[in-house]
Formats: sequence, structure tokens, C-alpha cells
Amino acid sequence: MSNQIRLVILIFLLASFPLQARIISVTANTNNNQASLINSTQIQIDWRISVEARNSGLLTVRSMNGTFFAPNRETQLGMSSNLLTQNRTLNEGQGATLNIRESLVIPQTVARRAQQLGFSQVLFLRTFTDTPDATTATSVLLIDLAGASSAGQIQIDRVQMQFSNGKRVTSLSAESELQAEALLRYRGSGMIEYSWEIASPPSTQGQIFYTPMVSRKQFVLAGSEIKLQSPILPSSRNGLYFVRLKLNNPNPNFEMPILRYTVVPQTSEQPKSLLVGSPPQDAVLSTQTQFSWQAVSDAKVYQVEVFLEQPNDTAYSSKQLIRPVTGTQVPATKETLSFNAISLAHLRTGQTYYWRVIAVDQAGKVLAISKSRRLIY
Amino acid sequence: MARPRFFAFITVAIFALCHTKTIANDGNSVDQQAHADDSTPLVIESGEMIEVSLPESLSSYSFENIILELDQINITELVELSEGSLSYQPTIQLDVGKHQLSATDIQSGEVIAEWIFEVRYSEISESSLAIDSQFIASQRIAEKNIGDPAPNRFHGQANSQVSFSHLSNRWQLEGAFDLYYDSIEENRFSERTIDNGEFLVSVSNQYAEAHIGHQVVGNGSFIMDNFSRRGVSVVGNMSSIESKVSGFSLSSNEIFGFGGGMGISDRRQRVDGMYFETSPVKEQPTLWTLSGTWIDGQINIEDEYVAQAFVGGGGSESQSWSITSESLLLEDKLHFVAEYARSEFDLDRTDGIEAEEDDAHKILLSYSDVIESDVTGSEIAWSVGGLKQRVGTFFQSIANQGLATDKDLFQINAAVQSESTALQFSTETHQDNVESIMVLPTIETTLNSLSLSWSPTLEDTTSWVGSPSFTLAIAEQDQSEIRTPENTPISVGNEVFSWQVSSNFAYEVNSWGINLSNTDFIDRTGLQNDSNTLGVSLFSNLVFDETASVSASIGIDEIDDLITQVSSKSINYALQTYVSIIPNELDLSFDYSINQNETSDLLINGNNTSINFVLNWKIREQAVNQFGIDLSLSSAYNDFDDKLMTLNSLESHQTFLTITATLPSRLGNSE
Repeated sequence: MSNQIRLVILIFLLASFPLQARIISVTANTNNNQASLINSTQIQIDWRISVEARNSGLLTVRSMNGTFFAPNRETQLGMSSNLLTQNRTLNEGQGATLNIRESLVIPQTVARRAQQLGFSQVLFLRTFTDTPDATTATSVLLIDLAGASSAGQIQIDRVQMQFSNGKRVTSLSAESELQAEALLRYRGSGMIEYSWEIASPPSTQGQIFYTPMVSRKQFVLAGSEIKLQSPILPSSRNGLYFVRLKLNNPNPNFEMPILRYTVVPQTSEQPKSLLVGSPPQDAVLSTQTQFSWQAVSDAKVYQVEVFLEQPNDTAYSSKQLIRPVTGTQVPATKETLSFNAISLAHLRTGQTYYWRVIAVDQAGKVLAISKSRRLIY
Repeated sequence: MARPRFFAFITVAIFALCHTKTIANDGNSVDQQAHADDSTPLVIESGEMIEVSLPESLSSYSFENIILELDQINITELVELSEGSLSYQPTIQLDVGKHQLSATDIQSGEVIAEWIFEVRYSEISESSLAIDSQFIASQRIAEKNIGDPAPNRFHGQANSQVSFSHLSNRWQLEGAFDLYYDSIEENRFSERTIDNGEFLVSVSNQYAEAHIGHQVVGNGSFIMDNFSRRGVSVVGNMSSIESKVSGFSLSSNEIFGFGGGMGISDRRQRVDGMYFETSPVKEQPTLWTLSGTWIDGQINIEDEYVAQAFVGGGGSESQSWSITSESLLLEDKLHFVAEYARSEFDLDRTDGIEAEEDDAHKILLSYSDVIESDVTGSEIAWSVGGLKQRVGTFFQSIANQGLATDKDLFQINAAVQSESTALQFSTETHQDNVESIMVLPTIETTLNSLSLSWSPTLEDTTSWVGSPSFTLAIAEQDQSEIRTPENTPISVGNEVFSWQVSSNFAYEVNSWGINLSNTDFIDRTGLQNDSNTLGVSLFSNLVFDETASVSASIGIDEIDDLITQVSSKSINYALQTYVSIIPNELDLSFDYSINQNETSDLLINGNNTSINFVLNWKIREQAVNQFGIDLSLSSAYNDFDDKLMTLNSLESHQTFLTITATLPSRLGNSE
């Protein structure tokens, strides 16, 4: 038999031997090891499966499902039917680590059953099997039970997005004042890193470019809920805008919503922007505080208004939901005023308020509205 | 004779001219009629002055010492006083409903006379329709690196804001909605080419209201707060007994567009309920207000504007109710609020676990007053208050999903304000695991905060500081695990100390400010790394005779990990300018921003530069029922520079020629 024939036979024999490999170990890491008693909890698990091959070939590692157990490892609490699988071609003698990411929902049912049985933890077991050798390895993830709030690393449970006028889709006149708001429900306390990003015309007429308006690293104290407010949104150019909150840390396990608004030109009937001078933002209000503004032609009276909540500055309506808690009207011959003690008596000490000025003509039409500023009383 | 537009459709009826808080000079309370005959409503034609007869008790007062307020707005300078009566021409449209006119002695602060009157719908008919439309057509004429495949070169957009009203026979119908069109599918908020955003249509008279569309029902409570949804509500107003009752059916999820209909056809995504509010003491409604809410609903989380972790496959179901008592006592100085709520919530109807029942309650008490300082002679306003609140572990309501549950809170706060200085202090303790569930840790958190604000009154406000204001805020938090469940190796404990200094300076039309903040975090158990965070921000807004404006800001945030010694920094620079080259014809706007992010461990190091510029030519000025046309040349430039992975760097730009047509349409008639 020639050497060439021997070589062909040897190659044929080697190729016909199936891969021989084994799973050496499985470990699990998670971004959150707490399961809430009052909500189903979604966590990310990174499974790391170490394997070793005796000869070369295609290896498949698979886990058909996962099981929730009580810490006694006897009481089964539930199952997850997520199929996890990964293929890898290995060379002879090669060791490798396969990483499989799982998005796991821990049902409230599982957490509640464990708590009712008197356990403070839940175990999540997964067994991985390799093909073709069918060696197996099992790993256990320990999950602590938690109530609605907890200390420790911050976790974002819910984000509700809306504009400061309470709407989710809105249009506003050019040069109006609008902010985006994100109501975050969270557990624990810690650092949140986020950016408010805006896509504005002209990019929204073609390929959308999101630009950070502000990037913040903010420490959130224990409180369970926080409202993040964007800077004043741009409204100088007509057209379509998108605004989103980009949470860089902690990374939420869900897709963040995007708000959209449209800026339309001011019509001649809509109130114009009224420029104000003093007092500055966050000024302390007293009888000595002087309110000043720029004159508006055709105005008959000016009204300085104080609100408990930030008013919607895009329009004036007598039916507006937020009514001023106090204010003063003066004839248009004046461009400054101070409140007297009677007006301040409607306010409560220690409260933050918002003020603005409106200009009204002879017929009762609101000609101009200023942007609002905060006041401390 | 043409009537002023704002008053064309209302008549003003003053029919409850009795005042019940009249106090004579000797301090004894007396009831006195302000009008000779209060049994006959005084009807004032629209546009006419409000005139009331003055009671005899006012004859002893010098009118220079009286402040007249309409709905708490000081109107003294616009009121005309004559012997025996006062008259006022309302400068702003008064809403339908009750209004209050009061006369207060400026020296003593006592209310001398008070008139309650009601504005009613008139029998005058009037209809109006307003449609503000905008049509935008743009063509991309140049680009670089804008993705593959690139968006269509032509982009069409249109939107209309529609509002209408009809007033007839003491009834009012009004409504508003938006319409949107976008030729690019990805830009739409629904699958429809043309769709509407939010809408609201209301029909009302003095006794009842009906609303269809996006609305907020009732006041905030444990079970319903910030719950703006599409649906239907009917409100009955019983002004004779100071009461209001509302029945509603709202979608539990946020719905937009034509597709959702009324939003209430699907029982699995609907909240039904009732709300009532009554003030039993008619003479002084704020003395005691009682309100209650009951809701019954189901929800399947499919809300596009709420992001959250998976809740449950079968949808949730809940019944809950709340009752609130609120009082303003001792001349409104003492504020008392008590609320009790109960919920029955089934997170997942298919999981075999029965609905959880739990409750929540709160008591809020605060007192505020003004005293005169013996030292300076100035007035000092002060307040002190307390809040005790407990929300059960399993308390949940579909209509208030943001509520922080499983928390027992006790808070005390105090505030003092004198002339230009204000001091606020609060201390609170909250504890979780309120049901004392053995397997859960119990964590106690104390939070103390102090805020000092100062706004000096300067005689010369033209100097470089203008009108300034300064604030120093300090907060301190301590968290500790006061009970650790068995088999849990780590107990939690950390401390946070933060301070913030902010200053703002305002001028005739311009303003600027600077803020500094710092936070120290110390973890006593090593669960998280200790850190220090520093923030600096600077902003300015400048306006030049309405022909140009410049806004500039810089924001720097830096966090140092004190364990790993890794620091992370982000810096934002932003500049927005507007120049009117030819007034009302040609203007230019230019935005420039840079966002820098870097970490000392060299895992992140990148800059993002963005430039937008628009040159806009107003070819034809818009007017009512007349098209306005603008032509603009605009460009957007974006440069992402990844200094570590240069392959990620991308410089792109796109330039557009855009024509915009606007049409404000108005239709209206009155008879």
C-alpha cells in the first residue's frame, strides 16, 4: 500500500471519528439578584460554559429549560422554558468558554410562593448538555427576595415619558417653552448616568441625528421615584423633533420610549413672547421683590401671575387647569410692580412657585406671555 | 355694536352676593349683605362692568387701605370706586363658574367684605373653527455618510391643529385635535400615513359636563394620579350644595391615533370609576372638602410611552378606592389632609395567585403664619409641618403605577422667610418592609436637607450682578439594614452627603447663572464602591433688541470611583444663535454643540460635535385665511470622534432645500 493511500485512509478515519468533548464547568453572573414580591422581575444572566475538546469538530451546548427551586432544593417553584443553545467549532485539545446571555423573567408567583414557604431566596438551576457527548453540568443562581423598595445598587423598574404639558405627542408654537419629563420608579440608591438627546430639523428631514442636550451623572437618594426633566426643548425652528432619555447606567432591561413634538409657526392671533427682567430664577419672594418686564405695544393691562405648578406657556386659556394662586394686575403705564402682603398671604412658606407676566389688550385678548421662572417663598 | 370677542358669549350673573366673613372694625364677626336684594340674581351683560354695592361696614374704611382681589388676583389699581359702589371691567375672560371678589384691609389683613358670583353661559349663539396647518416639502441636495440605505431625498410633512367651539342655549361644545402626516414611515408614531395625536371634545352647561378624549379625572390620590388617558367622563356640578360627581371610563393604556376609537371598548384595557368632591360648609368651602375615588379596571401593558420590566402574561386587574378629607382652618393658617385608600390587585390573572389586598394612608398637618420681628420691624413668614404616610407592600393601583409602595414615611419640615432670605429644613425617616415579612430585609433611611436662599434687593440693578439670587442646598442620607433575614450574608449600609450652590443673575432682558454641586457616597458594607461626584454648569441668555439672541451653556460632570481610582467625565458645550438679517424677511439660526465623554481607564474617550444652520427667507407673511410661504436652506453636520476605536468615528452631514407653507384658517359666526 502506497504512502499516499495510507494517508487517505488515515484522513478518512480521523474525519469519521465524531468530536469528543466535555463540559468542564458552568457559572452564572447577573446584573440583578433580587426578585420583587410585588412585580415580576426581569434580569439578565450571563452563563459561561467552559468546554474541552479531545479532537476537532462542531460542538453544540444546549439547555432546554431552567427550574426555580426553594433553597432546600426539593420544592420546585416554577420553570422557565427558554431554550439556550450555542454552537462552536473546536480544534483537537482546544478548551473554550461559551457565553450565553439569558433574559429571565422571575414571575411574581415564584417569589411569592418562596416567601409563603418561609424562604428569603430562590434558586434558579440550569443544566447544560453538550452534543454529541451528552456530558452535563449544572449551575445555580441565587436570587434574593425583595419588597417594593430596597437598599443597595440602584435598579430602574419603570420609566414613564411625557411632556411638561402632560401630553405624549404634541405640537407647540415657535418660541414656546416645553420640557420632556421622565418619571423613574427605582429601588435602592446610587448613581444614574443619563443624557437627554434631541433630534431636530433639519436632520429629521433626512437621516436622524440625535444630539446630547445635557449629560448628567446624578446621585439618586433613596426615594423610589424621581422626575428627570430635560432642559427647555428647542422650538425656534418649525418642523418635527424627537426627544429621548438615554440611560447609560444603570442599564434598564427594557427599550426606552421616544417622544415626538412638532413646532408650528406662531399665528398672528397667538400671544407673542414677553421678555422679563427681574426677579431671577429661584429668587426669594417678598414684598420687596420687584417684577419687571418689557413693554408690549397695544397692551391695556399687565398681570403678574404666581402658580404652584409650572404653567403651560404655549397658550393662554381661562379654562387652563392650573390657575394662579395669586397675582396682581396693573395698567399698561407700569412696567414694574411688587406684591403687597395681602397677595403674599395666599402663599405657603417653604413652597416653590412659578411666575410669569401676561399682557392684555383693550378687548381682553392676551397679546403676550412671558416664560415662567421659579420663585421661593 | 360689536362686542369684545372674549365676552361675546357669556353673561355674568351675580346672584350670591352674601358675604360671610365680614369683620367689623371692633373685630366682632357680623354677617352683612353686600347687596340690597340678594334673592334676585344680578345679571350683567357681557362686556359690561361688574358693579357691586358696598356694605355699610366699608364706609368706615379709607379706600387707600383696601386691597380688592378677584380670584386672589389684586385688581385694586383697575377698580373704580364711587360712593356706595365699586365697579370693575374684567380684563381677561372669566371662566364659567364661581368667582370671588374680596376686599381686605391692608393694615390688619382682615377680609372686610366678600362677594361670590357665578359666570353662566349666555343664550347668545356663536360658532368658531380654527385650523392651523403647516405643509413642509424638503429635498436633500447634498450629503455625506448618512447611512445605507439613505432615506428618500424627498420628504413631505404636514400637520394641522384643529379647534372648534359652539355656544348655544346655555350649552357649550368645544374640542381640539391634531393631525399629522409624514412621508417617512419611521417618523410616524403609528402605522397610519395620516393620524391624530390627542383629542378632547367637551359638552357642558352649568349643571353637567361630558368629555370624550384624553383627559385627567379628579384630584391626585393614592389610587389615581397623573393618569391622563383617552376615554369618556360625565361630571355633574351641584353648585347649590358645593358638590361635584364624576363617572368615567378610561383606557388603562395610552392610546393615540384613529385606531383606538374611544379607547374603552376592550374590557381588558379599561378603567371604570367614580369620583366625588363636596364641601359641606357652603359659607366657607375650604373649611372642609371631602373627596373620594373608586376604580375598577384591567390592564395589559402595551404602552409605548411607559417602559418597564415584564409584568405578567395574563394582564393585571385591580379594584381600589380612596377617601380624602382636606381642611383649611384658623384663617387658612392650618392645613390638614387625611387620606385612606385600599387596593385589591391581581398582577397576573393567569398565575393562580389570588389578588393581593393592602392599604395606604397619610396624614399631613402644616401651620403657617406671619409675625413682625421686634428687632428689624420686618415681617417674618414661617411654617412648620409634618407628614405621616404608609403604603403597604402589596398596595397597587392601575391608575397610579408610579407610586412608591412598601414604605412607612415620617417627615417634619419647617421654613422661615424674611425679606430677601428664606431657610427651609426637613428631616424624614422611611422604612421599607412595612408588613414585617420575615424573609425580607428591613431598611431604614434617614434623610435631612437644608436650603438657604438669598435674593438681595439692590438699588442699582444695572451693575454686573443685575438682580441676583443665591441658593445653598445641603442633603444628608443614611441607610442601614435594621433587620437582616437569615441566610443573607450582606446587610446594607451607606451614607451620602451632597451640597449644591447656585446663583442666578437677571438684567433688563438678559440673564446668566452658575451652579456647583458635589456628592460623596460611602458604602459601609462594600456592596458599592465609594465615589465622589462633581458638577459645574454655566449658562447665559442674551437678547439684542429682538434682532439677535445668543444662548450659551457649559456643563461638566465628573465622578471619581474612590476604590478603583477610575474617573469618568462628561462635558457639554452648547451655543444657539439667532440673527434677523432683514426684519420679518430673512433670518439665520445657528446651533453648535460638543459632547465629550472620557474615562481615566481609557474604556471611553469620544467627542460628538453637532452643527445645525438654517437660512430662512420669508417669501410671504401668513395671515388669517392666507398662506404664508418660507423657503429655507438648512444643513445638519454631525461628527462622532472615537479616540480609542477610530473605526467607530463617523463624520456626516446633509443639506436640504425646504419650502414651508402655513395656513391659519378661521371660521366663525355669532348671532
